[in-house]
Amino acid sequence: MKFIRYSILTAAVLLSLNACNPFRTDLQTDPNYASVESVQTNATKGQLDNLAIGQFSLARNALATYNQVVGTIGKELFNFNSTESRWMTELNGLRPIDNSAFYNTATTGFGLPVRQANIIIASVAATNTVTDVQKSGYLGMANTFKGLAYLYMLNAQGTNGVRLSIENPYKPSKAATYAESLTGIAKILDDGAAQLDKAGTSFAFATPSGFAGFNTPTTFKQFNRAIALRVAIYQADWAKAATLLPQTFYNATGDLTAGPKHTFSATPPDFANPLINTATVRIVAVQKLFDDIEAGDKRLAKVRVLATPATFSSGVTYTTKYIQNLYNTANDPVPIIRNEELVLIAAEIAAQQGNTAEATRNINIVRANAGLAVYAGATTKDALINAILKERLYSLWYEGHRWVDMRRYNKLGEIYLPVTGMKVLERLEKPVAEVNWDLQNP
Amino acid sequence: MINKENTSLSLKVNGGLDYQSGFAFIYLPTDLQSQRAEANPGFAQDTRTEVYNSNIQVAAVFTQLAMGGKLNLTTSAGAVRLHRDFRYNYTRGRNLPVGVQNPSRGGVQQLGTEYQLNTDVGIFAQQEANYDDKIIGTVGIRFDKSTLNGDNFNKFYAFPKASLALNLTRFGDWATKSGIISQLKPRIAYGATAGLPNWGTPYSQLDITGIGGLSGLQPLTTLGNPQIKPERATELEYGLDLGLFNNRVTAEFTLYNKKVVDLIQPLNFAPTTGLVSTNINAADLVNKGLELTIGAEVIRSRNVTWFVQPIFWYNRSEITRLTIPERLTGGFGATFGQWRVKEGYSPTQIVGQPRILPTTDPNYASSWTVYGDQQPKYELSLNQRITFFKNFEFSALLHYRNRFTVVSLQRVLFDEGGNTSDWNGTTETGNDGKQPNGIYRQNVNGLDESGKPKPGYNPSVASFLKLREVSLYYRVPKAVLNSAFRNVVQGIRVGVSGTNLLRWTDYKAGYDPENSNFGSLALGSGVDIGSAPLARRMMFHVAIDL
Repeated sequence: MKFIRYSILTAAVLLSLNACNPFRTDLQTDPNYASVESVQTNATKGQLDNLAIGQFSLARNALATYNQVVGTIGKELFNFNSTESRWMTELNGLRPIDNSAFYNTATTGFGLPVRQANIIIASVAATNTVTDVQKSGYLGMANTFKGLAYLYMLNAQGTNGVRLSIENPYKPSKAATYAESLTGIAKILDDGAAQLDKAGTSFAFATPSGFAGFNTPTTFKQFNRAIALRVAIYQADWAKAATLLPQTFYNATGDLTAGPKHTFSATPPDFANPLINTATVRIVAVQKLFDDIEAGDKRLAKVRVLATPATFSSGVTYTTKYIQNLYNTANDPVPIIRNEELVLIAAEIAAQQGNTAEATRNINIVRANAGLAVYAGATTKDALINAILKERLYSLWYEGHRWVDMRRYNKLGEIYLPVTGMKVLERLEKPVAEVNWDLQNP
Repeated sequence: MINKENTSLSLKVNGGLDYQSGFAFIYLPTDLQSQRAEANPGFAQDTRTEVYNSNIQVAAVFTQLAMGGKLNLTTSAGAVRLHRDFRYNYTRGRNLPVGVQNPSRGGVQQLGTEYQLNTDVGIFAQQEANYDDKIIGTVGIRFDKSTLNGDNFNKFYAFPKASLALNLTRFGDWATKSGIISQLKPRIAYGATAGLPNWGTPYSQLDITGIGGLSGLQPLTTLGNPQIKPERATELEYGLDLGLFNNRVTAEFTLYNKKVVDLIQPLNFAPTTGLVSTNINAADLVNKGLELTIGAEVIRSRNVTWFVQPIFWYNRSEITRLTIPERLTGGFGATFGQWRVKEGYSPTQIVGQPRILPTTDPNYASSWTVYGDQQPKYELSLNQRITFFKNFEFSALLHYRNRFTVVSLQRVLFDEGGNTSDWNGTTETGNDGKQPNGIYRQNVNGLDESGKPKPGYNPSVASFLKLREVSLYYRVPKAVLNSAFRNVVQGIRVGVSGTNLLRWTDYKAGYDPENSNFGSLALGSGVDIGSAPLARRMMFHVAIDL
């Protein structure tokens, strides 16, 4: 019996060896993920739609790090992080800034949405499964988010500039100067706007609910133009800004909170609002800013007064009684750009162009909304700009503007320093991997 | 198959199957302090893994006796095929009802599944020769291919090997005459093996993402490299085995030179491209080292034997070729120290802030201060075994590691929280005596006016001596067993043993310089953030042989 069983086993082994060549192996494809290659040629409409949703989703990349880093450097808020004292020390200039630390994300986190846009642009060019009109919709949307991501990246890097061509990761362009970077970003946004003009009456893809009111090529273009408007005021090109303003969703009589929003959900693959306070992250306001707020200003509601003031004591000691109150649950949406910012930009353009009445009219729209009396200060250009910067501080608190605003007006030295020895950095350091890449590829 | 007086030929077919399954469970209750402040308190994860490995090897072995039976030749050749099938899945639940551990009851759930498959094929041939136990030599070659090699999946890579040993004591009768040397064996060996790429190296992947219930695709930040090749690790090892006084004293001395060619390293992209890295065959690494083992039975008497075995060793590494930009890895940023991969330097070197060159220098950005090397200058261990009164056995293993660098965040964290024992003291090296050490050592004040670290800064260079293992056993004598249990019980052994019982160290920045927050990594372990030191254990043993 035993002999027979072994014989059968041996025969079975030999047969199986004969059945297939034991030296033969096949290319192993990835059993876990879709591949980038699969969408680069003859992408289906479904694949393009998924990439488009990916673009909307990636617009939220690095959002928290960016808003918190920029807010910290601009001294509008601090991150009382219980496991990371560098939020308080290095970002406030109390020790050398590092080019290899977590805050690099405020720069590098915007590379991925740019890459996503480049993938969409390449995929759209290499497929015939959608019409030319539909193609324009994908392209216009992708270029809009590409320009927005570059703008955040440039804000963090300042005069270090950004690499405007990263299609080939092995041969990215060198970082352009600050002015060239802004010009390049304006061009990307203008390309997007032109594509949206040719994109028909509706997009081929679904849009998230936060884009309600901005989900057709026409209305999405108003969002595109609002970002382009930001670029124009950073360029201090007031004539161009004045041309762009009416193309945006600027509405002097409308809801100041109107504008496209990022939406969140804690259910994967979506994720929770990353700007809320958690067990380790407490976003607090610099106390003096809200102590000094005008009586009755409703924008005080952006913070909540703590029963016991919060104290940070790791590496530096600072106490404040205000904690952020804008976002409290995982599903709270976050505005990308709001009508309130556009109204204040309208005021700024008018002030720069010497139109005092228009400037004060727009300032007063924001002040009235905050429950305050009309602006009664001086109406010189400088006084109006300072008044606008002050309104922007409160209206756009925790939206990532204070530092950038003060920098473009060369007023970083006027930022209030809550702790002796703190400094306001002019820009984040170029990330070490960026530096090393350039050293290796001169 | 053939079996004659001086020759034989045999065919061996070996095959194997093995199946492993694993289950891991993590549970953080909803009312845990760390969970209560979370948006979705409570966490549970159920992880299952399955690994199925199969292999089949066919080999023919031909042996031949020549030169009147003095030369023994063995020729073997064959082929092997291996297959690995790995499956992994987990269910993760957050926002759990109080008291519930099942992750599928969580208000927020996450699932994950991963498959990995690879097939490797190898062909090998080897010739061994043994001349009268005087000269023993081997030459061989192996050809390997693997589906892990991306587009090169069908390409065979060759890996030769050779070794030679001389048994000098068998040349003539000089050894027996001397009465001292019982073994003298110089040896040399060379071998090459493949280091296969990790799973997934060839793939540029699109992950899923979601917003508002809509499903999307986005690229991962790692770019695939389908052109990947296996690493080639070669080792040249030579040494001497020595036996004295009928092998009562033995010594082994080995020098090695291990060279890894085409080391797979991440090519770090400029990260604003949206890509972090791709794995390429980018570097050559050399490891040189020395090992010396001496074993001696110092006392050999009726009642006491004492065996001591000291071992001394060290290893030095150097990246000899690097085609990627130098990079920092591991740790928590250059402020605390990171590992630097750079041509001409040890990859275990730890560097960090501040930078040495002036900010105007083009190389300023990467002109890091060198803190030290994670690898020690040398290591020593001492193993001792003493048996006394025939039935008692005592053994102890001491381990000494000399001057290695630890990235320590523990003291920083404890200083920040006001929890160091000498926080109020003022005598830390470099402290001017006017402020508490706890303030002096902290980040803001740990740097002097020029941004250079003051003494007492992190990381820390340390040495240690540890009593790794110690044990004492008593074996109940046979005579006692026989009278007590007749012949039912063959042996009884009782004893106590302990691990990590004692530690002497000059490490001040934490508990234990061996602590590693990231476990065991090629680069980047040895970061101490105050995790618990290696467990100190005492065990009581009873062994009964029936």
